[in-house]
Amino acid sequence: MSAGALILVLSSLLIIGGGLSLFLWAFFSGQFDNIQRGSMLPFDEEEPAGKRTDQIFGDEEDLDQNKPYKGEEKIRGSRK
Amino acid sequence: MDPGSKQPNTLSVSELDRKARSVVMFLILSGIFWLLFGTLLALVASLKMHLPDWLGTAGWLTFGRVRPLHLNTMVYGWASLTGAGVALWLLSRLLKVPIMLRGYIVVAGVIWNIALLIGSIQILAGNSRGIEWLELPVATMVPILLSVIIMSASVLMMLVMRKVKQLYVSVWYLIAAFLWFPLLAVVSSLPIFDTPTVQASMNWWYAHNVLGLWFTPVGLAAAYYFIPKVLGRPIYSYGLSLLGFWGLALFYNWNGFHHLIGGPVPTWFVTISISASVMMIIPVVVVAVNHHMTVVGSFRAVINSPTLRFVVFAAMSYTFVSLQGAMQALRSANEVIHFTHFVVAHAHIGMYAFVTMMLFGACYYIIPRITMREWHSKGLIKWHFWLTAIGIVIYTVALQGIGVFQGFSMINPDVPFTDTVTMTVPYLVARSVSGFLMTAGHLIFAWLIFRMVWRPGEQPATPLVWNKIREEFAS
Repeated sequence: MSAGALILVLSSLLIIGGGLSLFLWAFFSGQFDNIQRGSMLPFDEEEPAGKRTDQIFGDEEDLDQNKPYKGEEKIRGSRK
Repeated sequence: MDPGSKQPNTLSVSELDRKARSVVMFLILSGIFWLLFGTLLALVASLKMHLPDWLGTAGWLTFGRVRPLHLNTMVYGWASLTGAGVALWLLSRLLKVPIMLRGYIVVAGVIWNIALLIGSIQILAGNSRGIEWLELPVATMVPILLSVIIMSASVLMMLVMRKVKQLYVSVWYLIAAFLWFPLLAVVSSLPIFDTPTVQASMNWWYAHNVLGLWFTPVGLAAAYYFIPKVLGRPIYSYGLSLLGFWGLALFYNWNGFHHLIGGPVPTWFVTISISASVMMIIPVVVVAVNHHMTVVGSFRAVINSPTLRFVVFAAMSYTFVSLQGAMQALRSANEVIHFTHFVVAHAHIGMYAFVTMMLFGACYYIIPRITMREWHSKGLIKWHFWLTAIGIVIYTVALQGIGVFQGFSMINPDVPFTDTVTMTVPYLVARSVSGFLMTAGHLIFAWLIFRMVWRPGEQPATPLVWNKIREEFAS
């Protein structure tokens, strides 16, 4: 195998190794302790879950009210 | 500690956005400059495919220079610069720290733009490196690489200084992207790939990984942020989203060698690559299911949001292009479609329908929030969406449709080669038409941003997008 091909294989292993070491770090630093909680991370007090944003083409009342759109309630309900 | 809860000394999202303003706007505006330049090159290249004599007398306007420059401006100009701006903004919000090294990043961005400009002139002058995706001379790739490393340093500093303990899935994607891209750029610039087969291996290892380990993570990170954010609803399964990320991290980087099926490289190189390509179905399906289950039932909220129109279109394109890619990597499929327009269209679904549309969507969300200004025209946003969406659909249908027939003709020894070329001409015209549609969309996008940033003419009377802007106007 030429030096170039060897470098390619080693770099590929380095990329996988980087991924694996990220994973091990995540595992041992407790990132996976309470996984489902992570889904709330994009939200905070200022922009809480349950509040739509960016409804620029909607009516005024669609903007920030936490009411389901027509038909949505039924679908969401069946999922719970 | 609750996730997302405020620690002492944590800045609010609007304060973080304000601090991000100059860096993110600079990167996005640079990207849009390259988008317009690259679009012009794309149109010229596309027209030349069915008008071969047009602009054929000047060397620097020949297809062999215009087309590679189109690719390089889109990859290193538009998608990388705008993508880096979006990535830094996302990280600032999700780690609850301001973007670090802001001054250095602006300097790095200036150097990046200058290096890309010099590299563009070099490609037009005929001094290309002659490797697809790496046509820029090494001397101009090195400053770009150094600029990326400065951004990576900023990302690592933000990670260390972060105010939240748990990392959101978007953060995983972005950290990985900022670790992998510099590594790819370093390896590809090494002067050791001098024999043709090794160079070809490096070429496709690099090109495919830039797509999969740089643009894809940025795009998916944006999707995982904007879909929950706009709908006001958390992602369907956070566990699945992590599975998708680690699947990408472990499977993607071997994919590139499937470009060399039938080439003079060791069979095991290619076979590993085909296996890895098929294994990518797992993370792709996981991402698709997760996004679908989050969005399902909220179609009107998607339609009402300029961001989600683009983001959901892009996420669907990601699923489509990835599953298609897994099939294309099979030897039996590859022997037909290799060297046809099918592959060109496939690349454009990846870089345009997925990455570019995702970046458009991200820009529609980010720019009002960092500038505290409103988009001037709802109608023009809709025009932008429909022109680009219909454009890329026409592009895909025309080229992938004829690509299959072209492939079957090319492996049929009874068909003369010229017939396999002339049969594609009407579809190449269709591509140019779709190119004009997308160009019009890009011009509208640039105009919207120009009006927002430099504010000529009348300003919108009632802000539409954001409660905070509405409150400011009310007070």
